[in-house]
Amino acid sequence: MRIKSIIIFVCISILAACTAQKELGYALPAEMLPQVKAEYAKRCEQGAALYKMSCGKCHNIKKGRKEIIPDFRQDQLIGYTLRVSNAQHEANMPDSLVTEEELGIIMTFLGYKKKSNIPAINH
Amino acid sequence: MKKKYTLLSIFTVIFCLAFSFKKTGGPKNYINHYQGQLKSFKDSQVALLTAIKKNDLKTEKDVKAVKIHIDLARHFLKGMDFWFRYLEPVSYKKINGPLPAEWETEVFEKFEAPYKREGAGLTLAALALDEEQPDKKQLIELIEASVNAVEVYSADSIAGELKTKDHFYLCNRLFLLNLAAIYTTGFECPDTTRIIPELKQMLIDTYDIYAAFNESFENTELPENYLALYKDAVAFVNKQNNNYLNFDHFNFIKNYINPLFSLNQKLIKDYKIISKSNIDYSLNKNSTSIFSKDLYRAQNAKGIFLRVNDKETLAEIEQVGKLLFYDPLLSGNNLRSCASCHNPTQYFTDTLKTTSLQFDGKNMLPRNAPSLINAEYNHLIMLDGKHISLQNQAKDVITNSTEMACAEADVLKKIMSCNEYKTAFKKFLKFTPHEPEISIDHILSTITFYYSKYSHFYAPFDKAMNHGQALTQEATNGFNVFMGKAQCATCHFVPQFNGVKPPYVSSEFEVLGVAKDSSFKSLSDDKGRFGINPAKETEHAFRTGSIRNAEKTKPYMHNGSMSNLSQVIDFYNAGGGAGKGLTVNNQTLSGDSLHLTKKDKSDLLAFMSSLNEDIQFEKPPEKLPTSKNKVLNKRKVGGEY
Repeated sequence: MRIKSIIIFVCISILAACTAQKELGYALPAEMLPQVKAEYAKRCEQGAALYKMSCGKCHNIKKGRKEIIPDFRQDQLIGYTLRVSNAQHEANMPDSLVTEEELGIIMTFLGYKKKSNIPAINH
Repeated sequence: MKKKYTLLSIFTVIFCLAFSFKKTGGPKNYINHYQGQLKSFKDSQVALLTAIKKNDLKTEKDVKAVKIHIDLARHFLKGMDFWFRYLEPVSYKKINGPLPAEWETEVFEKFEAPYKREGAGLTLAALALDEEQPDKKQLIELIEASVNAVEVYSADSIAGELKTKDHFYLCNRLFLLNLAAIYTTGFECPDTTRIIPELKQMLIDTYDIYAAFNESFENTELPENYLALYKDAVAFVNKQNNNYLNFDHFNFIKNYINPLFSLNQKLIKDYKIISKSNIDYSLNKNSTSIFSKDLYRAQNAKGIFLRVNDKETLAEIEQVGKLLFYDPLLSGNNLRSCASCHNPTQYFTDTLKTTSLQFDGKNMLPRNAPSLINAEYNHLIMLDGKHISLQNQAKDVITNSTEMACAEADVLKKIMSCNEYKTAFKKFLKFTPHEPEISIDHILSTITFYYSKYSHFYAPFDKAMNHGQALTQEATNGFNVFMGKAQCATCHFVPQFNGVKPPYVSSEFEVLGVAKDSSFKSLSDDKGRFGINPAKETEHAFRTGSIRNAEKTKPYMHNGSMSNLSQVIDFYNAGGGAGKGLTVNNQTLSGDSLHLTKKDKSDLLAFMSSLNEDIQFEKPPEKLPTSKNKVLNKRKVGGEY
């Protein structure tokens, strides 16, 4: 019983530490109110998971074992028009695989994620 | 006889003028052909404007002189329709918009507020000219707006598109869909004597476009089998009487347009056609028939489980959805479920009540519970289009104090108190890394996924279109009446027969003038769409529902005030609320009688019966999951009221 609770405690602490660290990964404006910041951070988390599932395979840049998320320019983060702005998106990213709402969340994540200083290229 | 001669002379004038405008001979190459046609249309617009300006519009002769110019401009417009509608749909509304003002929420912008689009151009000018005292200033404004709007079709961006094979096959797809859904119905054609002559001309002009394309794009040409079938379609239409009341819509679509669509879809795949336009947002490249349920996509029934494709998991999600659909835990007092108003054995509606009971168990709700079957083919959900997704709609009903009255947090708590649900949702979590905790979205998505499976069945009418299965003569006639004389198809569009028309990116609303009750003494005081988007056009407007399964989903209209389909047909036949003598300031339905005969009406009923889908319904679950909270285990499958 005791061991179980210790394990749970350790798990929770690790989890908390991870979330705290992740939150630091977003460049949210300093003047943002704390509760707004929390909402945005949550949306960014969601966006990160969606990006990984729907975009990472083509856009991430491999460096050794690491996969780096490139920096997208603001004019590349254009929501639903993304679907028709390039041929690969039109073929591989229909509404049945990524919804418009999800695209919006992904855009939030990409807009606020910490810079990797590797520019994204249109492809 | 006299009328016949006048018509004949009008056509002669049109043809003479048509040839005088046509400066280029045969189509030399594709872009030249486009530019030549565009110039002809522009010239005809200017000629129309001049004719209006120098005319007093006082006598019948004056009016006729302008009418000839409108018909002529329409003639050239129809020759360009193939390109115009696809390349710049917004500008098209200024050239040939059906209504003075429309409120739109297109699928790719549905997170934004509806926006107003003002119409102008030829259809509205023809209607204005039809008035007893035509307003010259208004006519000039309508055509000037059209003259300005057409400039966009000379833009560099369009010239760029014309150099690609891609736009051609996408233009053609929309053209074929419009041939099935609107060109033959009189939509945007107020002069019904012109519907079939315009169709004949348009088919010939479009053949010229095909020929020009094949000359310029040899490697991606329209193949011989397509052209041969198209020629057959032209021959079929040319044999048809010019009276739109006699047009054989059924065979036109079944034998020609749908097979052509299918060939064009194959070419889109074979030639790897890429779209650069939001107009194609909802259309499915893999669909092989206009009457296939995967033709377009309007809703995400899977919700948060969008990426789940594994059959076994989907079956589990569906099973949980079914239990939840019948589970009164979703209501504040644990006595009501989704099935209370959307009874799965009654086509997911309540055929016994005009409108459903409120949460209090005493009062009635203001609106009839719509069937959930085929709900997924609408872009906006609810009769007033309040919601953009099925999941939002479900959430609203669950939390709404007059319907199921349960707070979001309580729903979650109660459901998680049942081990069976808890285990299932925990398992589903691995498919939703973007939503790592069990949330209301998980719950809602199982429900929408469950009931949407009933939207994937087909009706005898679809089977006739898709596989040539026999359809009764009455039903075939009924379809032709539906598409023509009864004007139903100008709002209930092929193939879902709902308010979503090609390219299937938005849902339409109409004002019919439905009364409070069957006595027809006063207009229903439900303001409909106005409550969501207040504007003078939206007052008493409701989203157009589907005709599919209509026979099985009584009662009808937003307030359930009509109890059988004969009453509904009589209502439309009389010209809606206005025709029945009510004051409806903004009725979008014509207030004139349709003059339907007894046979027309019984044929219409036969056609509607042929839209009853062969749905395999299931029995309700025998029991619901057990909760840790013993009080909750008293609940009954489906609830108590």
